[in-house]
Amino acid sequence: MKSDFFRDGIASGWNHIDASSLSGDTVLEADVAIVGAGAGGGVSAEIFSKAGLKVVMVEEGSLSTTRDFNMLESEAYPALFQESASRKTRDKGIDIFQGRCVGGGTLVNWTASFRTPPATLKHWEKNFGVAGLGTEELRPWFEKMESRFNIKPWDLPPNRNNDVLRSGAEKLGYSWGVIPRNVRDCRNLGYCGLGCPVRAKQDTLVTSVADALVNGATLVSRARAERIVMYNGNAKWLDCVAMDENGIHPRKTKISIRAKHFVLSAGAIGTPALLLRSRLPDPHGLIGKRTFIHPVSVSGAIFPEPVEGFYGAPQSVYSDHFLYPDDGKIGFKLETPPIYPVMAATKLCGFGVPHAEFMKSLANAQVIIALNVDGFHAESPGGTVALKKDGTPVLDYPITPYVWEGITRSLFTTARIQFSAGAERVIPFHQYSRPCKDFGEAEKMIKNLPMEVLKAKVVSAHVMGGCPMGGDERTSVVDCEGKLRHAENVFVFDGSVFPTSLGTNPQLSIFALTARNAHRLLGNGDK
Amino acid sequence: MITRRQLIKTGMAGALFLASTRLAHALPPPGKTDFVFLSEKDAEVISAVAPSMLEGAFPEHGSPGYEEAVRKVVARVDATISGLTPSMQDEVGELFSVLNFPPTRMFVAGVWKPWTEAGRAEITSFLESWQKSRFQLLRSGYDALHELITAAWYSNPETWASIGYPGPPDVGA
Repeated sequence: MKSDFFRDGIASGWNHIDASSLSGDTVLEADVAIVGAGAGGGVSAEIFSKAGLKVVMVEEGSLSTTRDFNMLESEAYPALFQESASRKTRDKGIDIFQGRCVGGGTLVNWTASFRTPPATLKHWEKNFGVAGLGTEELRPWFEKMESRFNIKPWDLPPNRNNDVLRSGAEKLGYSWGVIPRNVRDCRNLGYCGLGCPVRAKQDTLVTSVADALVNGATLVSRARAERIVMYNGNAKWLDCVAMDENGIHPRKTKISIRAKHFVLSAGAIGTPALLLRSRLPDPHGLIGKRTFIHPVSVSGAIFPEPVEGFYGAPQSVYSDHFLYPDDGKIGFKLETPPIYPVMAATKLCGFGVPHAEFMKSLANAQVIIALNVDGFHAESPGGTVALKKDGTPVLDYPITPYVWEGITRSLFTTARIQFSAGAERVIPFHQYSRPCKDFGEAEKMIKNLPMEVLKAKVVSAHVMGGCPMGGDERTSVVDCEGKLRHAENVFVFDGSVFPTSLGTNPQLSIFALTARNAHRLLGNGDK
Repeated sequence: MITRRQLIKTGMAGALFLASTRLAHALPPPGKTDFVFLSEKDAEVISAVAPSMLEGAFPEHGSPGYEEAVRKVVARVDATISGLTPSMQDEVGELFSVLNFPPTRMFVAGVWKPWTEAGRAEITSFLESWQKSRFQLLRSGYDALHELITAAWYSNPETWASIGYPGPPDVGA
């Protein structure tokens, strides 16, 4: 097996426990126990370990490192994603991509690193009593994280898949921009979504988690955090159970972590689920409610020339032209996904010859996605995280007519952009869809597409909310520094604290807010 | 997993669906197979459905590559399911129960012959009826078959040449 710097680190004595190989129950002690080794957990672990605190990170997923990333979907999905990248909402109507591995979402995302939109921060201040998180107050934290993760606007030409979004938008007079990415010496391969094989992506695996281990932190992988045990308003223990070596079935082996502070960074499905299993005080029944996902519509196109959407930085161009409609309707952000064969084949609707025809044109295929910005309107209240009988979480997310309208409208917009950029055919991802030859035909067809779950393809790669922060105890699960309102030493440092969706890719917002709150917890203020 | 409200909405099809699940669970366990998850009967469903789901990409029935293509797609579906979470595996198990239990195969899936004897047209019309069913539950059944079978097919590097995908680049040592 090839070595890589992370494996070398472990060989040199970094504290890593693969819980699936433990032969008996284990007890660990820490100043800070952190659940999840993704965006929030990684940044927390780095900051606390650097301050000299004893840190234990618990991650349900595997520790896979650079040498393991071979750009194959068949291996990456079961190894690195929640539920083998087949996680769905309760009614199966929405496909959810979420990481489950050391590095979490940062290991499998497409590197888009935007600051929280000012309009979102203003909305939180006005409607949720969020204080101290204005654009100016957050600026130093964004700057610090941009420097930490080497976030810069992409300076190579976009791949053809992204260039279609640029040229189509430009022809139509829509605004567009270049996406800031967290990469160093990027080789423009295009496989960020399956784990970077050349350690160019600055995910938390190769940055914060590695640095925390250098600082003496302990990483426990393949361990599922089951519950937090409280005494007199204080959390005392975190009870975890080892997973089997494939991460499918829990074993009987227990790992108990006694800590002074508990940081929950298990993501916006995992963190509410842990709190629900722990039955922590929730007098207003808020935990897991108002969970947002940026419901995404998908539009495919076939071009006369090769697009090769599987190669090159997967996301380098975006358009926020439709992010804030002035008529009160839902807004959407436009981006592109990478076009890997399994992802394309499974999300593409229909079967038989039409499906095969699209797949045969995969090298000429182009795809635009529209991320609808949920949570900013009374008719977009989000979904609810609940527990299944076996204690694992499920998200119930009913799509309201208000959101469906955005899905329909975004399909018009994306088809228009694709035709303007020279598409031969456009195929909105919907069970009743067929390839259209011009915008007139597409417009007529989209107008009549029934907007129902499991007819329209709706996906999500951004789960947010469920433990909202805010100024009012009756409407927030955590305060504006991430502290759980009804426990003295439990903190939520991940995307579940957002009171609405963000309107942009979440990783930099999670990095920045976590860094700020971790420093406040250390008593450093905003230093 | 299936709420009362969904059941009422799903009506007769749902009732049959659930009944079959219970009945199927009462049947003796299937014999030992080479698969991790699939029973012989489940494998017959995939063997019958995959060539229709993948029509246009799959070798023609009777052509030299056909049997091997069936074997490979079934093996890959089996591997995929065995990597799913226990609760997802339960749901897939229920889907196979419905498709295998003759009364539900006939009245819910509309496939009158056993899977090994069903013709292409019959299977295609079953897929179409579930794909566009007014019952959400049946649409989700179609979606599960679609996802399992298309992933099994296109994750196989042997199919990549046919879709113009050169595969991942060589990144060196």
